[in-house]
Amino acid sequence: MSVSPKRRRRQSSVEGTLDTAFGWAVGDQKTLLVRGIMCAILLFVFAGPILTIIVGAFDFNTDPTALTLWPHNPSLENFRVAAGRGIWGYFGNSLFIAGFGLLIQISVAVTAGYALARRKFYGQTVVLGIFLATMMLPEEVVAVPLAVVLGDLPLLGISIRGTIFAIILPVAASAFSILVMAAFMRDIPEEIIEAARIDGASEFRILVQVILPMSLPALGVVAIFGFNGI
Amino acid sequence: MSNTGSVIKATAANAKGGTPPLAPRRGRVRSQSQWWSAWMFLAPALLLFIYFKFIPMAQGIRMSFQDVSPFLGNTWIGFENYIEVLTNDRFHQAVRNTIVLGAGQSFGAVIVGFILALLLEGPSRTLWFVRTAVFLPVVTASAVVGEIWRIIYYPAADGFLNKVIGLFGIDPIRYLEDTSVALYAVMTVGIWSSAPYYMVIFLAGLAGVDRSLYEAAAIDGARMRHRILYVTIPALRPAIMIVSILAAVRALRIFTDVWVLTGGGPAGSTQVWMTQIYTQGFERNNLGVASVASILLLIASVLLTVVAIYFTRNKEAK
Repeated sequence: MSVSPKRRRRQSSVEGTLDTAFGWAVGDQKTLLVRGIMCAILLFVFAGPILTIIVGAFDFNTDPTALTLWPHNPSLENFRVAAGRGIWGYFGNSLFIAGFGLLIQISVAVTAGYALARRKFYGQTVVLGIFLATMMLPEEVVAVPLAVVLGDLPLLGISIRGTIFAIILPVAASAFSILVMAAFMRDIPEEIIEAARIDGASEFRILVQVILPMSLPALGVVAIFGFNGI
Repeated sequence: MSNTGSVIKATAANAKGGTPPLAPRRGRVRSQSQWWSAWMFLAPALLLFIYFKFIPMAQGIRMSFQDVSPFLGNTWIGFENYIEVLTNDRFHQAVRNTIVLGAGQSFGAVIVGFILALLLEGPSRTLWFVRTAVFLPVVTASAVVGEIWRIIYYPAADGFLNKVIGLFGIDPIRYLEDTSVALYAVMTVGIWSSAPYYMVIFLAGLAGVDRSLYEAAAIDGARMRHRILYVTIPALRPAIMIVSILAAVRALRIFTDVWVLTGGGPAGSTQVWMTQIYTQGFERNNLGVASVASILLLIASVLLTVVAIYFTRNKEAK
């Protein structure tokens, strides 16, 4: 019995070498040093620069060339100076824009996704085509004319340039989010919706109280991508 | 169709339970009478798309044929803007830089991402930690990435990277100020910040490689080199295709990386198509010229996507 763990480990090391393309198994002692050095280099190259920025935030240092992985002069002075220049206000703006924008984006995605997935209506293919077309149209391409349009919204004749709406509304509808929601809602069994309808629930109530709680995983995906996107 | 089917099912269920089939019929009638409610649900999305995607697009096409001046009013000038963009040296340079930067950055990031995926593949917890840490550059805001690399690229002799190359006896380089180096310095940052993203896609692909193939190759006496060349890479071909297309289409409209690092300078040596659009449109107020450049960018990216889709379809068919 006392031999078995040893044997098991050896066995797993032999089998494990065929688990990855490089043939590096978890418990393999031979390649341990190589793997360790390699991981250290990768960490230094990819995570190191970001760590230095975090450390730099807590390190009172006026030398622009200094990059250290350890604070030599730890203090919160940088935060005090940044706060004096109103950084928390800017941070609040960012959070507000991201949060509010995300809320609109999710609402739009949920309603449009529901209509696409659960309703039959004339022009469905056209609507789907419109959504797909906006995915082909990069934001960068419309950036210049968008700035003009924001200054004078057609039909409404108002300018929202310089307000937070000019930042939020152009990214508020995302075809990607809509299609993710639609794909998920398509898999919800029709019987459940039918049952709610028999019980006399309105269309809106079906969406909010039946579909929405069942689409939480898709909502999570949309929220993560939307938060990064905005 | 699925609607009627389920109504029948519901009716059958009700008949079994002994309830009158009145209720489901009412439900069906109601859902038909409210055909407009689908449009009500679609309205917010459609309105936002029309206002902030299609109207700007139409406006862009219109402005590309106009001499745009904010107070005197726009005048139609036909294809003059197009001729100006196509004959302008700055745009020629921007095309060259975009192609060099885009190709270099895409290839570099895909290859580095692939190597990262091979190195960091595995179930151990340490590797999971390293993978997470390596992914950090992707989630960092471009402005922060630019700031970090500006410190690393500090042009004086005691800048970080200059100190490192100083160990090998190389003279300090002014990375972002030297016209012959700046483009490659930007390319390096682009590879650094996008390779981990491709790594994740490759890791997902690697997880799907059939392990018995490795075993079979090992029995046939294949070494690690052969295993990667003849088993792993062929198995990953779809992932490699997708990632390359993604990288190429993204590279066409590269902007933020360049803008935060060099702003298109020095002497236009890192000026790419998008920074040129930005400069023309927002700094010089040449809205007509900027619109032409935007439309050409759209045509280029649509063409690239269509060609890419065509090639991937062909591969699949074979």
